[in-house]
Amino acid sequence: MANGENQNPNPNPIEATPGAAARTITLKTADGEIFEVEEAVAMEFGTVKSFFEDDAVSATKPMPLPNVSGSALSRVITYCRRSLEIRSMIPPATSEDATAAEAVQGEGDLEAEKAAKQERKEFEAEFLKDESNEDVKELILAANYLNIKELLDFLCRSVALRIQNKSVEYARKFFGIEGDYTPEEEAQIRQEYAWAFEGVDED
Amino acid sequence: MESPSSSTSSPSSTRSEQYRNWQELPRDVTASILQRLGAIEILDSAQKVCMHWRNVCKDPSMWRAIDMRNHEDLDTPFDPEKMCRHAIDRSSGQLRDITIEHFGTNDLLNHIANSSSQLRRLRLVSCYCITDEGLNEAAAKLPLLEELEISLCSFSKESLMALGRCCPLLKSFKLNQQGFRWPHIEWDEEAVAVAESMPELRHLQLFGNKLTNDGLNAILNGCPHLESLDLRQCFNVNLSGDLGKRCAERIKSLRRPNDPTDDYEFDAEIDDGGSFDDDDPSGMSDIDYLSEGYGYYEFSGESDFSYDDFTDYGDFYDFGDYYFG
Repeated sequence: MANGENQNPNPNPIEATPGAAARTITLKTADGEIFEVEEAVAMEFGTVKSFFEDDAVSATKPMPLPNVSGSALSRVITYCRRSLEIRSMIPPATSEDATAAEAVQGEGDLEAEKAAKQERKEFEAEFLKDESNEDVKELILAANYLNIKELLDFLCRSVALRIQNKSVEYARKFFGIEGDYTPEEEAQIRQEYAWAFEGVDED
Repeated sequence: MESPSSSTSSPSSTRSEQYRNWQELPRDVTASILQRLGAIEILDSAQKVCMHWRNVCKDPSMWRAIDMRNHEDLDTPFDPEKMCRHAIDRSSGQLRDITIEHFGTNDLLNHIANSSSQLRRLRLVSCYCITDEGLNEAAAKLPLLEELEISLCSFSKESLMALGRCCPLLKSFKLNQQGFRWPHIEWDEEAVAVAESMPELRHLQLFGNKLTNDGLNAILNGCPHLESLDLRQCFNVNLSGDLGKRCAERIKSLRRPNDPTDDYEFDAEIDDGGSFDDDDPSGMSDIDYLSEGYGYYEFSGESDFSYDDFTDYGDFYDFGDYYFG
C-alpha cells in the first residue's frame, strides 16, 4: 500500500520496503482491487501517465480506474510488462552519424530485431488463446480507457483477424449484434452495390 | 428488428447485453477494427452487419488508407476497379495511402490523383495496364507524395525522372521486379533516374534490379540522405571493395544482393528464363545478342515497345525474328 504520509516532492510513491529499486504506482479498479505496478509499466498507460504529469495530483492515494475491472487490469499489466521486456531486447537505434563500426553493429541489431519480432509473435498468440469474446471486449475497453496504443492495436488487429473472410452472420454472432435492417433495407443496400458485382449472385 | 437468419441460442436478454457492450466501443475503436478488414471486405461484409457499423463505414476517416491487394488467384465476383473507385469516393478527399494490385487503369490512377491531392503513399503492384503516360499524368497532381512503390510492373526511365521531379517530397521509393541472373544484362538507367531526380530519398528498394556499381555510385552521390537500401538480387552489384565500404558507412540498413529474402513481400524466386528457352527456338539465351545493349528484359516497357503491344507468344516470335535476323 502507498505510504499515506509521504512528503517527498517526487510525485511517485516509493515502495515501502527500504532499498527496493523499483518505484511503484498504485491503481484501484472499479471492483475495488488494488494493484501496485512498477512505474515503467504504469507509464505505458497514457491515462496514468497524464494523471501523474499533472503536478497538482496527490500521489498518496491510489489512482482510481472506474472503468476497468480487476481481471482486465491484471491482463493489461501482464501484457505491458512482457511488451516492455521484448522491446528492451532491441538495442537503441544508432545515431545519425553512425561510423563504420556502429554500422557493423547494425547487423547485430537486425538479428535482435528479428528475435524480438518472433518473441512478440509467440507471446501475442499465447496471450489471447484462452480469452472469451467477452474477455476480449473487456480488454479492448480497458486498453482504450487506459490509452495504451500498442495493446489496443494488437487487440483490434486480433479481432479483425477473427472476423476476416467470414460472413455477415458470423460477424453478428461473434459480436452478439442483432442485425437491425429490415428486409427492405437489406435489399436496398444490396442494390446500392450491385454495380460493383459483375452479375454474380452473392452467397 | 431481429435478423431472420441469426442463430444464436443464448437468451435474448444476454444477447442484447452483449450487443450493448460492443456498441459501447467508441466509434474510433470500432473503426480501428473494421479498417483492418480491408476495403473489399468492408464494402462487401462489414457494412451490412448493422446500421451502426454501416454508419462507421461511411465515415471518410475509415478510408484514409485503402488496401486493395488482390491476389490474382482469388475468384472475385466483383469488379475491383469499381470497388476501388467507390472506396476512393468514400474518402472524400482524405485518402492518404492506397495500394492496388493486379488491376488498375490509367483512368483509375487519374481518378485517384484528381480526388486525392493529399496522397502520401502510392503502391502499384502488378499494374500492367498502367502506362507511362498514365503515371506521368497522375504524378503531376500528387505533389505531396512521400512514398511510392512500383513492383512487378515497369515504367521508362523518363517516367521515373518526371515522377521524381513532380514529387519533391519523395522519401521512400521501391522499384521491384523479379530477379534473374541469366541472361546477363547491365542496366543503370533506373538507378540514374533515381539519382538524378529523387534527392530527398531516405529509403530505396531496388529488388532484382540490373544496376551495376556505376548505378549504385550514382545513387550514393545523388541521394545524400539515404538511410536504408535494399539491393537484394541485384546481381550486377559487387560490394566486396571500396563501394561496399562506402555503403556500409553511409547506409544504416543495407540489404546486399545475396541476403536472405524470407521477409520480402513478393515471390523471390529467381527467374532464369527457363520458360523462354523452352519456347524460343532462336536461342534467346545467346549472350552475343545481349551485348548489343538493347537493355531488354522480360516485358519491360522500354523505348522500343510497351507491354500493351504485346499480348501473346505470336507477337513474341515476330519480335524474335526482327532481332535475331
